[in-house]
Amino acid sequence: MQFFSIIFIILIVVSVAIYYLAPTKYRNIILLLYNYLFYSTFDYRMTVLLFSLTSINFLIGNKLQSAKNDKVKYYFVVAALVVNLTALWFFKYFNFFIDSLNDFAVILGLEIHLSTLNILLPLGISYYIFQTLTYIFDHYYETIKEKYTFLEYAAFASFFPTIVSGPIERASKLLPQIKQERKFVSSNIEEGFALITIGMFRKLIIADACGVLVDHVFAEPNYFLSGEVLIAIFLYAFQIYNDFAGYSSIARGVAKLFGFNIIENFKQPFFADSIADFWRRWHISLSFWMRDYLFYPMQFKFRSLGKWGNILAVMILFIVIGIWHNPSWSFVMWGFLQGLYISFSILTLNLRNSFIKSIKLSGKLLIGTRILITFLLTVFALFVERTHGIQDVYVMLSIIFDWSWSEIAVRFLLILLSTLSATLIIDLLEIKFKSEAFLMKFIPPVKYAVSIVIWLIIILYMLTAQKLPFIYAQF
Amino acid sequence: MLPLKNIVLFVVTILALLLYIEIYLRWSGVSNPSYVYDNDIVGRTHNKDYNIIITGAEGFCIDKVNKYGYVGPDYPKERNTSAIRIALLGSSYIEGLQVFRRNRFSTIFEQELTKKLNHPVEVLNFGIGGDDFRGMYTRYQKLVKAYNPDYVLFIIQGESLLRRKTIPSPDLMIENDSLVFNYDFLKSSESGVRHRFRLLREFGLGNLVKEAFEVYYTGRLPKIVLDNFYIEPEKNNVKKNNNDSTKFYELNSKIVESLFKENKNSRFTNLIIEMEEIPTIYSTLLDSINFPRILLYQDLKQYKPEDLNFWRASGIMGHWNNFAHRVVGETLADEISTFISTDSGHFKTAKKD
Repeated sequence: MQFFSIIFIILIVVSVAIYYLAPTKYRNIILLLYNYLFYSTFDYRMTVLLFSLTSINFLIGNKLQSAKNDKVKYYFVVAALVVNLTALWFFKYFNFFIDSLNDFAVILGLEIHLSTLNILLPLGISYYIFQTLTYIFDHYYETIKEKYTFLEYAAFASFFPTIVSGPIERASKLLPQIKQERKFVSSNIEEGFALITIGMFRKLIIADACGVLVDHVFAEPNYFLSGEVLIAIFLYAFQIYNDFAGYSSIARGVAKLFGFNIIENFKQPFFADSIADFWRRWHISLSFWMRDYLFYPMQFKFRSLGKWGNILAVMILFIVIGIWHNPSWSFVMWGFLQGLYISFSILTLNLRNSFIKSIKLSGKLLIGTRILITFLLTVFALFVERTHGIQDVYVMLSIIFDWSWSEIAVRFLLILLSTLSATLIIDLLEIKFKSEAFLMKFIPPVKYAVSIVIWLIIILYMLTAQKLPFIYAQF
Repeated sequence: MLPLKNIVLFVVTILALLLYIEIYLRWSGVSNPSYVYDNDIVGRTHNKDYNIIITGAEGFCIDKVNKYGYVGPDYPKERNTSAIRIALLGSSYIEGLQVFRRNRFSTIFEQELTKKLNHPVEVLNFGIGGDDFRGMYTRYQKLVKAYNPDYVLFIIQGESLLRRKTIPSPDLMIENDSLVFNYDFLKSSESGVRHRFRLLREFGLGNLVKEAFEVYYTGRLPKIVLDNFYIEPEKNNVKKNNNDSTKFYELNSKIVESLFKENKNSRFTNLIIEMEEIPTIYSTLLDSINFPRILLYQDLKQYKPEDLNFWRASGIMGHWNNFAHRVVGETLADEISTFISTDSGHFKTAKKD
């Protein structure tokens, strides 16, 4: 069941009503029930793995919490990592590994034909494994002090608003919320509604409008001309941003309806003035997870190498982020490019500063230039990630450098402008009101008018248009 | 704040937002004013000068209806050149709005045929989604003939001969052994609904409202609302209505007879192009009178259905894809150039002109 289906909206209204009508002590049981029911609507078989990993992690986490010896604690962390990452590797990466091994053997002139397996990829596995691992890490770093029941932990591990595509919430942030009593607060409903409204608009009206066009151009670029391909590349950047930011808003909104605060996953990333800044604004829950649990330990380990140690840690970090998303070489290249951008900026920091001084670039012009460069680098990296490999990158770039223009490209440009305008309006309102739920901060007549019109469009779109799946749900 | 001020603010916000949404829907291509309307003479037809944007699992196309009301280059009714003029009639496959005009089979057909005959060719595409053989005949009589084509290609599939009407258009009846147009569709409740929505369809937002209403009207609402939870009701095993096939055969054979007469008595040459194998009863009929027909499906047998109908963008089977449009355009050009070269009539006259 997708977030953008009408049945989901209906069921959410009913579910929230039942949840708050039930006595407080039963709310976690109801939440757990909702989690598993929601997850099983995709494929009930996948709940077996979810429940197994939940049980194992709960067991290891509790042992870890009660362990006195640091070495023993360390072994428990290793055990948890082995169990979770093996499951992740098998379900998500096994076939990629076998395919790559076969390809590599061909390059070496060897004849091995290892066969891949017909594996069902459990939905959201990358998200819930990372979320449950925070329970282990938070125990290890002792950011969790309290004891939690299996019911509370299972509700956290399978938390339905975030299980499919995040945000990846920390155990230390979500578990205390699950433990505490949650009462009906009308402002939670209002904020949840505002977040869902904006999220739906981003996903259905902005992202999907670009998506169908982008899919066709990327599937058969040879049938399109230079200007059209170039605009489709920019459109993809807006598609994936609005698709994922839309999902995250809906997830946060749904969580809010049930009384939970979830981490903000996006902060206007296309206004970032450097790639490092971009990663503080894009898929924040993942980048902070990776920073805390992968980058910092690596940086510490490579500290003897100085600046080059940092660069090594950055490169590994981003390649892992790339592979985490999708086991494909396009994502490896995307991660590699992100690492390269940041490494380049570390290595050339002094040089760039003196260059900026020499051309006397300052103030808003400097920030604007930095934002534009960051945006273009991001668009290029996203373009590489969207292709099916280096061959497609070459083909599409060759088409672009033909510099042919067509009347149709003007229509493409209008699509880009409309997408840009809608994205910009939402982003600027978020900045002005310092909230994703800016809608609730409007004065009442404006708030109601905007809500009515947006929901009218959303419902009409839900009824009539072809809806694309969330891009990040496949990761 | 005063209640009146609130009301004014509420209304102004709604209007401003609706205006923005309308512009957004049109520019982004989410919804444009409808590029088709129900014409009182030929039924469903294209709206002159309207923008087209199709974004779906089976295609993506940005185009514009020309000033004469069909999709393609502006060829007027009056013929000012010596070019050979070919009119195409058919369903959505022929309309070809799944691909851009430059990749559409009709464009490729025109280019290839021009090259092969070494003589200018004008291809006028009157194909429209949902049209059947009877609809094609109506369009031919009421619209296409006015454009003075040399050749008219009725491009059909099996279902073009057997299907009940899917778009509002005049039906055909046999009265006193001749074909008569029946305009009852104008009085139908569906037509009434369409007319009521006519003004709304002039807006992107209005067109969305109309489509949403159509979802309800055609009974698709439960399926869309319930999504995965929807259980398809068991279909009753309705016996195939033999009356329908007999009725269709009577009408279709009368149409063939009429077209055949026109081939003899007018300057038009009508051809039937078969994209799929048609029922034997029809091929026997066509052969018995030696009606000019091209069995294009036989030329296309070397391709698998997934070569011609598979959409890489969505991974589904559907209309012809970009590759297929090229193949069909080139193959048809081959066949028609052979036909025209051996046809004693128009081509030679056209060349002399």
